[in-house]
Amino acid sequence: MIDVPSLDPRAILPILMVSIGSMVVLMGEVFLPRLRSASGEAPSDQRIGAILALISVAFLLLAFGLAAQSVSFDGIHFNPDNAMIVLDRFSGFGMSLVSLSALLTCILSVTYLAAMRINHGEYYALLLIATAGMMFMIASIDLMAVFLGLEIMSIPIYVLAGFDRTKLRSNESALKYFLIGSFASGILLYGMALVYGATGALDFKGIGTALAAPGMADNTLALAGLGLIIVGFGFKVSTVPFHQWTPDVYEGAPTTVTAYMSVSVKAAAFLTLMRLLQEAFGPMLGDIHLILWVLAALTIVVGNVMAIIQDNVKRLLAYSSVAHAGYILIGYVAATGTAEPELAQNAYQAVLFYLLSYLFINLGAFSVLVALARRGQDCDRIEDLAGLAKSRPGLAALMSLFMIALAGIPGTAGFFAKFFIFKAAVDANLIWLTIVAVFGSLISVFYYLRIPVAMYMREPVGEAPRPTTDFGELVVLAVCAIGVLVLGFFPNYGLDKLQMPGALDWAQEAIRVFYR
Amino acid sequence: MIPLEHVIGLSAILFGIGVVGALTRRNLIVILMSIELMLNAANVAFIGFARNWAQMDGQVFVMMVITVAAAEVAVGLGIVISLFRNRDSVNVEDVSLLKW
Repeated sequence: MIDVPSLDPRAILPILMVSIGSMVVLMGEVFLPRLRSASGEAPSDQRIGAILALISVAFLLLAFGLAAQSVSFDGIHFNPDNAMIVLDRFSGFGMSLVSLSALLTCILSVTYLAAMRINHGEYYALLLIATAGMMFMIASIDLMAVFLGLEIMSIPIYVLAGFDRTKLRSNESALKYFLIGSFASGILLYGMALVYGATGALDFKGIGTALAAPGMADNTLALAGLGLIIVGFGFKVSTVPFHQWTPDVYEGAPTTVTAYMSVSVKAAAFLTLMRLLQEAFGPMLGDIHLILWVLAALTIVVGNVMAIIQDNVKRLLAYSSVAHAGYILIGYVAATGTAEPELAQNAYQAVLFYLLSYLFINLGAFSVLVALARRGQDCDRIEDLAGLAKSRPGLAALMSLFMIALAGIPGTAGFFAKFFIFKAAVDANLIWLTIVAVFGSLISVFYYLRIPVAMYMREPVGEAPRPTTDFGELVVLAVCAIGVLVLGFFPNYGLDKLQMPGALDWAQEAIRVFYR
Repeated sequence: MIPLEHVIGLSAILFGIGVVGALTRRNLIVILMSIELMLNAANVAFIGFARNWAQMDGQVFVMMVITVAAAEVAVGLGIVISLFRNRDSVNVEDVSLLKW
């Protein structure tokens, strides 16, 4: 007789929703074109795309609701006897983050895909599978689940980056992302193997217990393994020196995909790394503090300096996302460098807040580019934006808002995001790193403001931009702008009626999982 | 009985060959093979360690990796083919539209 383990499906319910959604979309892609209206007409491609997007949004909304609800959970393991997946406050936070960004991307994509003539239903299915992978990864408490989630996330995104397959740029983007991504997975996997060899455990708790044994904290095998794991994650979140793929991939991929991956992949990888460091490598945090310090400083400097010379907005935003990875990394440096749990907790809380604000800001900035895309052609050079304030004043104003938010000017979410991170860094006595980061932000103001300057002070060149914005794009732009402003003025604004805590309270609840 | 050091030594050598191959070779297919070599080096290490710890976990992990690697290669070859259709080449140096 085989023992049936006691499984608690509530733990994977959000992930399940997204996976089921992806299958429904694939089926819809097959059967919708065969439907006939009363007059015998087949539905148009665009209508099918819209329906599939709607289905995806519905499932993602379910997943978002279920994940957001878990703020009040104290953690349910999927399989209590041999846990690999846990739904607690932290995974709930991460899952709602990635499902929210996927949801906005779905709404954003409908018109763009039709305009680029890549309106295939697989797009939504791949998006959902990637999201399911991210949720899986964030919720995992076992190296095996981390690797599996990472690959379920990465493989669909390789395909999505090359989704515009007749365009050479999209091919190149997919190819570079694939080569670098799988190279990074190889390194990560080898790191996991070394950690397994040193500790004899794959689950986070087991690794943590083994490393806590006397003499284990400077075990060479475990240290090398942790180093390789950090390199692997470094590739995923694009920290210098593992960032070279970022601009190429971001530029070549379809803009909606770039928007999605700049937000979600980063969030998923950073959150997984947080749990991994905190639960598995707790005793070794002091050893990697210096490495993270150097990575963060390099990332901020290189990201900001390289962004100055860019003429392509997508590329500029790619280097800016490298720089932002550096700012987020400061939170980890602060948390690993301090012995006081309270300071570490504040630093991690700042990271979560940063990821949330970055979602609204970056998705918003890319949405403006998406809303400007003409038939079959992206509108992504700075000169394409010249004189936009005259032809499309609303879009120009929104783009300016997102740019000053990226620069971190008060009144926007970007300000509080940076403020909390820098405060955590100063509290943890990282004065030099804070100085580097502040200088980086100063440089960044220069290149972010180039875009509003082009929009407001230069005369338009070339073709006029698309005259109208579609409903879906408007919704996404509105959500992002409201998010940026609300987090910028009231960083802890919550909805009591819906029992939604404010962003900061929520982040704090999520982090408390590690400090009990 | 093969000592653990030999198994891990083999896996380290394989991993090194994989990394060097992925970084220096110019043919896409060879790069793909090098990346597979890296994954399989990790598999060898997992099996060696699993025996050392007398556990099944490491071997189960290897099963997962093999499955994932198959999916990865399928997608990778798909990408290479769509590139080949547009460019008639499988050399990475011909793929340099996006720079700086």
